[in-house]
Amino acid sequence: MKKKVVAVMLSALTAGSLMLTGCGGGSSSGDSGSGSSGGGDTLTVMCVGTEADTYLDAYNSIAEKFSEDNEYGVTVEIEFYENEQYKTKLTTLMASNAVPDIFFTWELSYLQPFVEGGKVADITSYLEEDQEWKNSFADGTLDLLAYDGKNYGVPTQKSLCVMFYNKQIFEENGVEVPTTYEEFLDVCQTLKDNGVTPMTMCGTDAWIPAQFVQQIAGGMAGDQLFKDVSDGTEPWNNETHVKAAEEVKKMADNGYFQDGYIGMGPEESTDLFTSGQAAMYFQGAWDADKCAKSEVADNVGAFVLPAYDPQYNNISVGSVDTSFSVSETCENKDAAVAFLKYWTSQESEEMLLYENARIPAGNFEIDESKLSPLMVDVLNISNSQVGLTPWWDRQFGAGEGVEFNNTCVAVLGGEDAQTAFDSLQQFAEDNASR
Amino acid sequence: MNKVLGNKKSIAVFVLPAFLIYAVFVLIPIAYNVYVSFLQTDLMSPSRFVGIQNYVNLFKDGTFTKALGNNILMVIGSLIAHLPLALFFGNILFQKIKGSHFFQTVFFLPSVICGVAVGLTWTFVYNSEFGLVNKFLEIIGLGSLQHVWLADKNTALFCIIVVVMWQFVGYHMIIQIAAMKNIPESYYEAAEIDGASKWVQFKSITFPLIKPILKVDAVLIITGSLKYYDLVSVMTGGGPNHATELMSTYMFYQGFRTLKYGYAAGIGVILLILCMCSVLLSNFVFRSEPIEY
Repeated sequence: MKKKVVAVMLSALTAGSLMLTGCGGGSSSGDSGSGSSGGGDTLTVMCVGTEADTYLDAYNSIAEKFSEDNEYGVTVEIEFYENEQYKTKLTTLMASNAVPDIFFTWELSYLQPFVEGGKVADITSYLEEDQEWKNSFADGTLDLLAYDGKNYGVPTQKSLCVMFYNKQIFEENGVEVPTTYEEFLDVCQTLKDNGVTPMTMCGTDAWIPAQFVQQIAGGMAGDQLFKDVSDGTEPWNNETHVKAAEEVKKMADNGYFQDGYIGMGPEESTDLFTSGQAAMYFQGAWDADKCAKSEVADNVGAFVLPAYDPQYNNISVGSVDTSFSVSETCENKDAAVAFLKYWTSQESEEMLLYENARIPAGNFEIDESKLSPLMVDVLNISNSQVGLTPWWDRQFGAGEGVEFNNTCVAVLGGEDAQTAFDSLQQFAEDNASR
Repeated sequence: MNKVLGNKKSIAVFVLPAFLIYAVFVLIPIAYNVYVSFLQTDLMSPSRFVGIQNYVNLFKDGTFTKALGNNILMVIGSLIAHLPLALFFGNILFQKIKGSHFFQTVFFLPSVICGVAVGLTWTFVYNSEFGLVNKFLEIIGLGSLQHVWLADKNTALFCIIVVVMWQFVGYHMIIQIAAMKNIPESYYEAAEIDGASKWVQFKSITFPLIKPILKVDAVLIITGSLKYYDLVSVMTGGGPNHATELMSTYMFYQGFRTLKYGYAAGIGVILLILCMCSVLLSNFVFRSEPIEY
């Protein structure tokens, strides 16, 4: 009898452990986006976004408006996924040929393997047929999503890194928007001396400190450095990278970032700025909307970080953003492209600009009276940039790009900058044969 | 009836459905995985056969060897917590003391909580600003020991191992108690009459008789910690700078983030081989004669 009890207990435990592992996987299976067919009635769009993102309603309203009235009689549905989850889901669906009709993508290296694998629809002909649509995109923005001279996606916004700042805190501490790098450091020091957190920084998401390092490196050597590293003529462990990382580490050591930043997630650190507890916040302009809808809304301005070497002023980390591609398996490509046309039309882009503080990817007259002062700053910065260097993790994708981010975090964590970048270079060499 | 069940063919018919499911979901994927590990592929573009190149690269890859080392630390940590420590608690609660059932449940509880929830909870405990650990250190006057636990590459892995130890100690304790309950009462009565202390009772009766279960348990512990994934994924995501990467999280990273599926499959194969080796090893360490009560 006892033996039986033991046997039952043991098998119950094993079953329990199986269930535990099942729950730990963290993958949300459920409905995939394969509802694409259905006689072309529904177009499914897969997009990055969570409830915390202020743009969800705007995106949904674009889909609704298009669904109400279009010549194809299709209904558009957008499915939102959290960033990391999205990347996993998209790669899985790609490998199994089950990608929804339209999907969110990043430019450059991110989309490239999918294009090479023949999973993405070539939309060159649609752009050629409709020159007006093609010309509505700002110069060069379509090229970031073109491979071998063919277009595979369209961007819906431009994006670049800016330094958001709290005007009220600046005023109270008697500091001005810096125009040189030394002035920037002075501002930080003054704020620090007055007991204010100069900058908020997130250490858990490696790309956030990394984009700051990249921005400073751009200010040291210009966008030529970016081009040289990209085509392999300059190694990753070049002097500028090491110096820029050391510079950021120095800022951290001087206490210019908030205490415990290295273990702080993106939401926590952003909250410090949007609740008025930190004076500056370096982030992509996409967070302008978050700032504009926070409690410090009226006091937020933006400036571009002055370059370390003044001859390289106005070279920023930036690129296009929120790009969309049509999948090769989409059965109603005409309708899918029509939806992208609608999304990038002046009507939708204006709504996203005026209500969601998005820098449009298209060229059109902007009515400044409808803009918040912050957005005027951001657009001025965007227009005054002489060079944009896309984020490394977009230029190189996972692999070298993500390892660059990790390397920056390692330096902030106390590793010697030269050693850290040497191992990044080693990684880049090894990675070629994997 | 016996005639039917004794027939090899009819046995095969009864076993077939289960075997088919097993083959489709276990054997075939494993075989396919081994095949993919010889390719350089992103599963979309044409793939290239590279022989054992993936394995050669793996052992030259600093991050992979780091992950392997982390896995070994994880195995050691789990073995310490889940064999001697669990056995210690188990043996106490096995005694007829008040509330022993209640405490068995208490110890067992963490292991029924979903790993993701455990990970999130402990992330808050370790938080450098409002976390329990740092606040506690401050209160007892050891504020200088405060630390950014999960963001420091020197402490992050140990913080996670502690959570794994805590989470599953009750699970293995229950397995061991179940084995102890199987031992006939009369052995202990006889030992008591002969004046054997509790320690001698444990050493000479309990331990030798639960050895076969400990063997199974050790296999569970080792394979479990080799393929561990969820806590690391939730608490640090393998960071900072791959410091807490385990083989399974690195496999995920190489496969789903960098699209090097061949390389990732290679990690999977190594993981499989290590798990099989660990079974052989613990069979050898805990070898014993079959027991008759």
